Amino acid sequence: MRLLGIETSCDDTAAAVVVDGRTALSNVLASQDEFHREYGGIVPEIASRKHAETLNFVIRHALAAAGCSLRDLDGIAVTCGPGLPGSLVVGVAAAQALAWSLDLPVYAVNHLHGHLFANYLAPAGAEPVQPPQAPFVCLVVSGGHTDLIHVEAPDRHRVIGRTVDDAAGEAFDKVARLLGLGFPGGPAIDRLARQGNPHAFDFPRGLAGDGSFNFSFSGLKTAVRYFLDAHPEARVDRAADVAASFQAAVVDALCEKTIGAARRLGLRGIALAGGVAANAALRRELRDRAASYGIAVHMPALAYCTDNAAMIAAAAYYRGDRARVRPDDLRVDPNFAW
Amino acid sequence: MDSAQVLHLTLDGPEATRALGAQLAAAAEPGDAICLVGPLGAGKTTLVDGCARAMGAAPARSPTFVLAHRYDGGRLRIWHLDLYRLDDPAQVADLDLAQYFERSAVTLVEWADRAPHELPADALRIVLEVAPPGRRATIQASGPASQALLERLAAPHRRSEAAGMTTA
Repeated sequence: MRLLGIETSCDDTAAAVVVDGRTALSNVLASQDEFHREYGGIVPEIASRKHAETLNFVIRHALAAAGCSLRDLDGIAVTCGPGLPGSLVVGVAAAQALAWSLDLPVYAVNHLHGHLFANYLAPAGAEPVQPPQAPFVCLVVSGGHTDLIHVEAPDRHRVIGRTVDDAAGEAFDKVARLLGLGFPGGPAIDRLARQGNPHAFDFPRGLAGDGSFNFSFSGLKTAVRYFLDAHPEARVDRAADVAASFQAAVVDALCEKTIGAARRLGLRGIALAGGVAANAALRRELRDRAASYGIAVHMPALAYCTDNAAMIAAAAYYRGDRARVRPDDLRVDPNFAW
Repeated sequence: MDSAQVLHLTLDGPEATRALGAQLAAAAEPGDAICLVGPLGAGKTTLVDGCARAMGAAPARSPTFVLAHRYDGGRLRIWHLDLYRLDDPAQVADLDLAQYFERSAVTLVEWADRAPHELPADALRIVLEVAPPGRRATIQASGPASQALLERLAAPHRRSEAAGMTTA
């Protein structure tokens, strides 16, 4: 089954062709970082304008890179939410037009399901990945979300924890800005932290040991700000130590809660997902710490961590009839919940 | 009611900030606009969280990354905007912020000082400052609707010291 995936929920315009939810024949991303850098982030009306300008080109490119035409498709998968209404509507309108004109089935996909199913993807020509075996715990961690999900079966998900304030990726961006690093902040902190001492400063781990599976990163962000206000020189001569110590606090909180949830629920597997899943320290720490409890950690290849359309096609394949809608009924759902 | 022109409050911790949000929820009427100003970590999102919970909607979370969150299910719809990422007021002109100021909803805007000319002229302005060990709030109206909101808000505060809030 060959699905075209379309994703326009936030700042990236993306399209991909995926076979049977596992093999990405193509995965095209018109990264809009250059459009956004001068804005220091995502500016929705600008994002939706860029989506409209680039989506046709991105879809054509995804088909060409997959070596197929519109006639070879078995269906269209599109992100319907959560996200910005003005951005989502561009992808949904394109999917609707394609489904009507080609008489193809269309699948309404939750962006967060997409991140989860990124764990099932491999590029064409590579070994297929061994997907996590349900039940397992999935940590979805990005600029807009930090959710801990109990995946009871591939298509049965229960939210067991989430951030009570800021998302982890947002904390990365805000601290990057405090340190005068660029946008996006995650990769900038990740790089700088490699030259720093993660034990240099003791920043707080939000909600540590509170017995819940929730996260909090607002206090950590504020603590870094207070520290830099009190020690302005640290911005210059200790920036790498601040970045490393901040990152250690985030990674520590994410690992503690995620592994704690897996242990309490008696699960042997953890899956990582979302843009922050590309963070090198998080990947290493989660894998090492979980291994000491005999828990296996699955993580998507880097190309499938950040927002992409291959994961949307994969989610549509595995959700099947539960995601399938009549093209006329396709709607954006900005508050689409798990 | 001259004493209500500017309301100064001392908030002794996050729960007091939430309690102020809750009192805003009780006092707010459809169409009210509330601008929140203050540095990173001053408690802007915490205040909106208190408002959303007291309104009977879901807890609020930071909308920094996506600009806008909408909370339904309470007495009034809440729009929660966050202009943190906008450095230059000129960038905001493209955003059509007017769409988030529905006549049937209450709209709270974090980092409102980043778009002074794109927000309603008649809005309640709450400035949060860090004043260890807590926060200081300065609340001012800028038109008839926000003046009415400020007056509804001011009366209960005389009795709210148990919640950790004191009028300064």
